[in-house]
Amino acid sequence: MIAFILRRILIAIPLIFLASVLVFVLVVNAGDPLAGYRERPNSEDIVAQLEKQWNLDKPVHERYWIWVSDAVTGDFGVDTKGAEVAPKVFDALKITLRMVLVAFLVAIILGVAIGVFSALRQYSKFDYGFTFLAFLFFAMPVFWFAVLLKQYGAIELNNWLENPSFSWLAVAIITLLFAGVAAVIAGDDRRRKWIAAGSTAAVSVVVLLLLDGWLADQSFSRWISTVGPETPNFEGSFWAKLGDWVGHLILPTITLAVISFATYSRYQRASMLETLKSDYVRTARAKGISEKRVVFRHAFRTALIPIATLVALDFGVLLGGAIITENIFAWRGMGTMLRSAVLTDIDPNTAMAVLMITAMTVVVFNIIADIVYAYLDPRIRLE
Amino acid sequence: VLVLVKNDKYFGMAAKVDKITVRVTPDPTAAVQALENKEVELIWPQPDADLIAQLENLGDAIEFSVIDQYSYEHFDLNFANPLFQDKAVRRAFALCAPREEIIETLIKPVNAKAAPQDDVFYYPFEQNYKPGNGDLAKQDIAKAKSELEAAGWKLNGEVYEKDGKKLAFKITRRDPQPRRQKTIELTINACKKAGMAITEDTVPSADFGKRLDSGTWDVILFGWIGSPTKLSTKSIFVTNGGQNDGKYSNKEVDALLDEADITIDPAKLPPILNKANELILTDVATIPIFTFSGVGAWVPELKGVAPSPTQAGDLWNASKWSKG
Repeated sequence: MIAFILRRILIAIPLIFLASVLVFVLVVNAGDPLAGYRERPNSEDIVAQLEKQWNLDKPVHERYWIWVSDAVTGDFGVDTKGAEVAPKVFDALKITLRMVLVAFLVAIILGVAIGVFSALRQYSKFDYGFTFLAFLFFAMPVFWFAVLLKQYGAIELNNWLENPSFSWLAVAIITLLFAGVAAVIAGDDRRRKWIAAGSTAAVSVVVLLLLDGWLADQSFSRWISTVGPETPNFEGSFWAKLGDWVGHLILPTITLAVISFATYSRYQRASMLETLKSDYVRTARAKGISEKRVVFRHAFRTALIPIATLVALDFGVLLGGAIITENIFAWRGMGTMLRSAVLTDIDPNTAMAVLMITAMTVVVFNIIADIVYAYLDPRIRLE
Repeated sequence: VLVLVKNDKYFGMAAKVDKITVRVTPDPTAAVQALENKEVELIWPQPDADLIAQLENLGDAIEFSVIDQYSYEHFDLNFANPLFQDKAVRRAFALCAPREEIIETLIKPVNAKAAPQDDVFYYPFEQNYKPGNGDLAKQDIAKAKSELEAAGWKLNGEVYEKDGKKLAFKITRRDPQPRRQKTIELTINACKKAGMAITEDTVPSADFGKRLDSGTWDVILFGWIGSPTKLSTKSIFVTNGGQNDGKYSNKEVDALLDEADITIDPAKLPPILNKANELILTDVATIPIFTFSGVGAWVPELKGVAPSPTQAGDLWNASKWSKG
């Protein structure tokens, strides 16, 4: 195992170097960092001085060598305003990770669970229902969904939380909904369906009534927020701060998770269906093993293989690409930084730092995907 | 995030608010929703018709005010082009430019009180604003045509011609800019009726400044940012002035602006600038169109906010704000 990891890292290093060369050439040709200065009158001296300072007069391969010899020591240089790039980018990385991590985990767990159940209850109302939802979420534009979510999930919800109460109609609707879902999950046996529906309904009514009483005693003071990663200069205990973080995290997490979940659930469903039709599963059933064991001890592990690969690569994409979500929720993370470095400020050092961190994340997660793959598939042994 | 804290050692009247936190939200819709969710208590986004509609929908939950800003949109004419050395052509363009229509279509949805601006020094919300363009203030296509014909232009089909030269020119603007695209479209259609063949010319935003400085344009459309200090506009209209890219030159205007430059008594300045404004507008060196609008919105608990057009922004009287 150790040998495998070391070998993969060894191969990854030249790969990252190659990627950095390509990205450097592209970034350097993306624009002129001195464009703003050149437009102003009497700026020839400043332009000449900055050209020397930023090595803009040197040829590309020399500039690359200067950059790379600093980068391997962790010095990503200085941006066009003179601030150090490394601390800036790592702060942005922390913010983006905060936004992305929870969404990522929620999407995986939900996606896999729904995918497996859709496959087990193929062509049932549950399956059709979630297929519809998955395609709906695929097609939905993120900015539109986020705006609606802010309106109803934050503003209206906060308004309701100021005087929370469940009307009898609301209790009835919620109970029916949960009971319905439970009945569909429970399966084909009529008796099991009614038991599931009945018990869920009872539990739901009790929980809602208790919640009604409890909520009336709490003060939420507009807990769910729509902009920023946290309230600026928030002073309070660790738990208060954590509560503040969570309040700010809920909406971006739902936005990001909903779209990833759609992808994962479809892949998991397809992969699970294929596995359930395979010969070894038929053999296991023929041998008399209970359906539950067949599915969860044998088929599930194999069905997870394609998802493992997908999920590992998806993380790199999420990290570098949550630009729209960051813009709507006004979080200043990696996406915002890359966008301003390439479009507005023309800042090669910052752009290189963001792109290289994303590239390294993708490579690392690729290695993790291979390890998980080997664990899941008994035919593969890592040497 | 910028945090401003009350200065306890200030010798004057104490501020009623202890701390002001300034956050940047790039998306205007997000800013309005943050205000609605009471995460922020005052916003001043870039106004457009949708934003104003959003703010109006919030009803009593917030207060907002649309104000004029120290910024106006205008057409500049290039005197280096022989066409515009003919005063009749300049006057005809000023008479056919559909200022009212532009404001009605593009600006009234944002600011219902918008009106054409007729002064290059003073803004409509200032005390010394005095329209100086006389009979050029109202659109009059028939008058434009009769003045052109009196100057020797003959209608050849749809377009006027004189000495073999067509009355055709380009209007240049920044790209992308949807509102200016619409402005030029309206102008082309209106002046077509006055026998002018106008076409649109666009320059990518990053190169616009260079193009303006180079003087390779006929008519150019952009906005000036002004301030209460009036003489910063001198270099736009004085002969060989640094910002005078249309190469306008009028000795009387030069003399007036030089006099204004050394006038210290603020009461004596307005008459001089009003006279200069009259000369500039009747010479049709430039055609001001409308004043830009700004909007500030705040929660009713925050008292004392007065949106301001100055470059200090809405924080200018922060020391007078109080909450609750």
